[in-house]
Amino acid sequence: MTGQDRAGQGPLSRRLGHTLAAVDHTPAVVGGRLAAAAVTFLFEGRPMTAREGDTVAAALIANGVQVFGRSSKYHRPRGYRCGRGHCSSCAMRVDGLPGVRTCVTPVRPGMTVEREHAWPGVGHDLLRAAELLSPLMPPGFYYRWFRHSPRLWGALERALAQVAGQGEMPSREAVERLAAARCERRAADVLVVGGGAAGMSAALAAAGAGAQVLLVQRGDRLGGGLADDVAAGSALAADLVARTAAAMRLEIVTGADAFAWYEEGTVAVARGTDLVLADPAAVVLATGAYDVGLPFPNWDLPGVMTATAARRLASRYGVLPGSRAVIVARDDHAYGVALQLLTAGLEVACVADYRETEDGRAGSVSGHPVADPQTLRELTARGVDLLTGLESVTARGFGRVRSVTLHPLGQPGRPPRRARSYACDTICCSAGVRPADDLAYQASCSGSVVLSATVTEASGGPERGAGLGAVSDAAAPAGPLLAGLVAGAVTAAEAVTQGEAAGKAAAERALRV
Amino acid sequence: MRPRVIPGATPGEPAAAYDAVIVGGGLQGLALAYELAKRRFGRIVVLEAAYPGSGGSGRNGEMIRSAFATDEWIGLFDDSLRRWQTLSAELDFNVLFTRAGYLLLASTEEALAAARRNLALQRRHGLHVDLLGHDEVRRLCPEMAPEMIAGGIVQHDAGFAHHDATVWAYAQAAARLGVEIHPYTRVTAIGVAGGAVTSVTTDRGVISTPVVVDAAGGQARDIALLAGVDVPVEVFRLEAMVTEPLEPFLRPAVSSPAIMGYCHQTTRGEFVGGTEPDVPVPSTSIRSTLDGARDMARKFLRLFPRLAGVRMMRHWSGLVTQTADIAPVLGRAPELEGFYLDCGWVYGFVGAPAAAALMAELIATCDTPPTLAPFGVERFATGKLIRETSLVVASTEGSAA
Amino acid sequence: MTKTILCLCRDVSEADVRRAVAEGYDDPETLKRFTGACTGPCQGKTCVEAIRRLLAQLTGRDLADVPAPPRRPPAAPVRLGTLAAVGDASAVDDASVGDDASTVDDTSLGEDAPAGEGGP
Repeated sequence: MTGQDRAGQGPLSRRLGHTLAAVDHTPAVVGGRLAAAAVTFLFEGRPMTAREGDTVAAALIANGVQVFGRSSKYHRPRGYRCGRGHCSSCAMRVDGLPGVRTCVTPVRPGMTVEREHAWPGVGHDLLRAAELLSPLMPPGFYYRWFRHSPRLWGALERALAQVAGQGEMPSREAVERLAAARCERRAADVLVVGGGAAGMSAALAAAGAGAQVLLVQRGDRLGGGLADDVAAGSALAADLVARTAAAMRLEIVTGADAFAWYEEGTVAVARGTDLVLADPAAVVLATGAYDVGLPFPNWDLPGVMTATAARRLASRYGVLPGSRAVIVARDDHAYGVALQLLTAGLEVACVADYRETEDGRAGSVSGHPVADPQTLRELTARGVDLLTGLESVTARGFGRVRSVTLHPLGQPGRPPRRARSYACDTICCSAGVRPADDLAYQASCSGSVVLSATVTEASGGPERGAGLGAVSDAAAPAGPLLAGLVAGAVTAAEAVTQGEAAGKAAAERALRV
Repeated sequence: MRPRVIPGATPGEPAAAYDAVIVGGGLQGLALAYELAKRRFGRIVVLEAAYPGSGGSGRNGEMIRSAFATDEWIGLFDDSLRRWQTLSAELDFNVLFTRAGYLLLASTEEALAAARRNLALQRRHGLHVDLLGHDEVRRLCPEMAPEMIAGGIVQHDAGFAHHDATVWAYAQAAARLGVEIHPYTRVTAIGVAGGAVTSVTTDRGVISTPVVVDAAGGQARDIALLAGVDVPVEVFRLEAMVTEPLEPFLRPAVSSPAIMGYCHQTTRGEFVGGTEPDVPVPSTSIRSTLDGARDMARKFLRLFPRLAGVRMMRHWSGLVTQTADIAPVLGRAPELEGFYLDCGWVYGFVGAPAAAALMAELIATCDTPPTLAPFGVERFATGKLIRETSLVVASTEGSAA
Repeated sequence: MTKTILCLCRDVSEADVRRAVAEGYDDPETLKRFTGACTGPCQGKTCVEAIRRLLAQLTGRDLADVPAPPRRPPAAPVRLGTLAAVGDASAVDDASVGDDASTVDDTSLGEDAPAGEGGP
């Protein structure tokens, strides 16, 4: 609980002032995870135990690994962040391959995992000293340096090439594995990209309308964000997953990352090292959304992650991201996630919302304009501070977040509010999403997202990142149909409705041809 | 408020009259503007439809060499290479010219024999080149598959530079000399009267001028047609890719006719390059194709097998305007006074520094410099095409050696 | 050191972006190329929104007038070995040429070879 001391309080936390608590750096493991079979893998030569179904990242966090790698220029420590394979902060060398996104890579027995981009080692990277030189390295500094001395530039350039943070060449075994990669072509009436609520609904609707459906899902299981949303979603998700698995004319391919929609109309999918090329008559994109970032000083530290990444770790893998968290928010979603994390056993000290309440009173449940009152009451009952109206946030820590300071907005005619600091090892950020429209963009001819007229326009909240600016182009027959978060859906129910509509339209299009 | 877009771009509206209007704010146009300004030509404006360097100048493979197989190409491109050596100092902006060497790979004995012949010509022109055997190439490029190596030519003082930096360098240098640069300004018409150009119409007003230069890259033919001039170029799409950053594994730039590809590794560690299909298909699209992706992957893995485990980060396209002999079109448009052509480029990045200086010389003095002369548009009518064989581009007449 | 890193892949800080815009690289494409933001392994998935917002704020423009740079394939990095994978005989499709209507807008779309910036 906030404000209460726990055993092991250290001198550092004492200096932070305000709210103090010991911060235990060993993430806890939650409940039923321990029932899964144990899997052994090697991390930098040390054997570690994972549980069947873990991703490499989840297993590493459960074993207390916090720094996953170093950034390319300043060698700043980086860790688990987005949890869904978007950001590359968790990338490591796995089985001899550089740049493997550990948050979406399942652990296999005997897997070798190593960190990259540091010297002599990621735990203590001397090249971090480069950051001390950062005042000398403003953007484009090299365009000014040595422009009159080609020889000096040549020497510097060779030195820079050595220290620039990059991956090592793949091992011979890894290259052999890739050389044996296979390509297969898949025909289908309808291709659905994404196996979340919208994708499953689309696949079911299309198959139900008589089309042969191919559903590709990046992760190792269906469900998407819905399955992670234990409170509201899991019954719906379980039902959809069961029906999808049982449906006729519906082939599901998991571990399959659709990475391109080429000009020829082919959708290319990477399944492990293999290539799957699909030439469907109609495509539904249910590719979800990316978290909109909420940058603040030192938000790139290990321990700072998206709220959905934290939730996924806890609900899907039974691993807590840390021992004490502060949630920084600019949307309603954060509050439900805070409750889920509390239930999983994570201590949540505070939910700090950038948005102001109407009456400006921090921590006032009744004054909060948008979040569900029941959720707010429960959070408060469990001792979570609720702050609203933030000016700025600063994180502190060296190899990991150690504390966060919240600066409230000033209010005219009122005495200024004090900044508050919390000792914590985890900060979860939640600031809304923007559509994962990469494939839609690639598919479009003129640079605008193509939406089918049959897909419901989304309501869209203030926290939605503005994407391309969806342009309705019903006349483009070869364009994709979008459904779910990528089409602006806000709730699971909307995602399902959009998915069903898109699936039906896709089947019609495919069967008409 | 209109954004500046790049340092050196001109705030405010274009004026009503200039001494020269250059259509196209890529490397050719900006370099020419700078060279003309150096010669105190008068009021010069560069009009660019998007942001400077948005076309081929921002998409190319950045490689620089002058080791070709004809007097004409060596003449033009070696003039350029010599300028590249001191370009950063001259423009007061480091264009990151890396003198890492340029390897023209020969994968067969036949190709090696052709290389030997070319070497003799190159040496006569004073190029700093050497013929390498199999072992020497392996030492130079340890990651290269041995079965791809018969030998090659290495040009020592060649290499690569940073494409955007070169665009920005020329733009800022030109601006310092008073050149006006207007991004996001489209040319919609060219006024002609009495066999001479008189004006250029843009979406921001009409500009009267006695000199118009078509340096419009992928749109050069369309621009020329506005003036009633038909430039014999066809537009082709080239695709390129870049990988995630890797530890340094490749020092020189590499060109391989056997895979119809070219590549280099940047200082930041990324492997960048492109390959071309055996039979080029004309296209004005800059989308990416499956064939292009597979072609590049397969061919680069033949050359550097360990790249199989390396990830492609981005795959894009750019346009080249190709003439029948793949050489650029440089010089006057004979039928129209005051209208100049600076287009048809496939090796535009290398050639810009020299072409700019020579074209500026032509425009300022009305005399065609000898190095420029072979590239005039008349050669298509007279049949004096330049038979350059050391190119990694498929010509429409069949692939080059 | 206390920095707000916007582009985590390339370590481009908020201060870097402000400086670049102040210098005149205030178009989304030129800002991207000059700072290197959005050119790393995640290709802007993490940072493009924050950078767009900052750029819009610094230049007094609407967010809609500050478009994100083009999302080219691959949507996530893919191994060259996977792309080169050999399969059945009918593996290669006839290439279809792009729609002519694409050229007018496409040529104003930005692109980069994020290469050779000379720094880490």
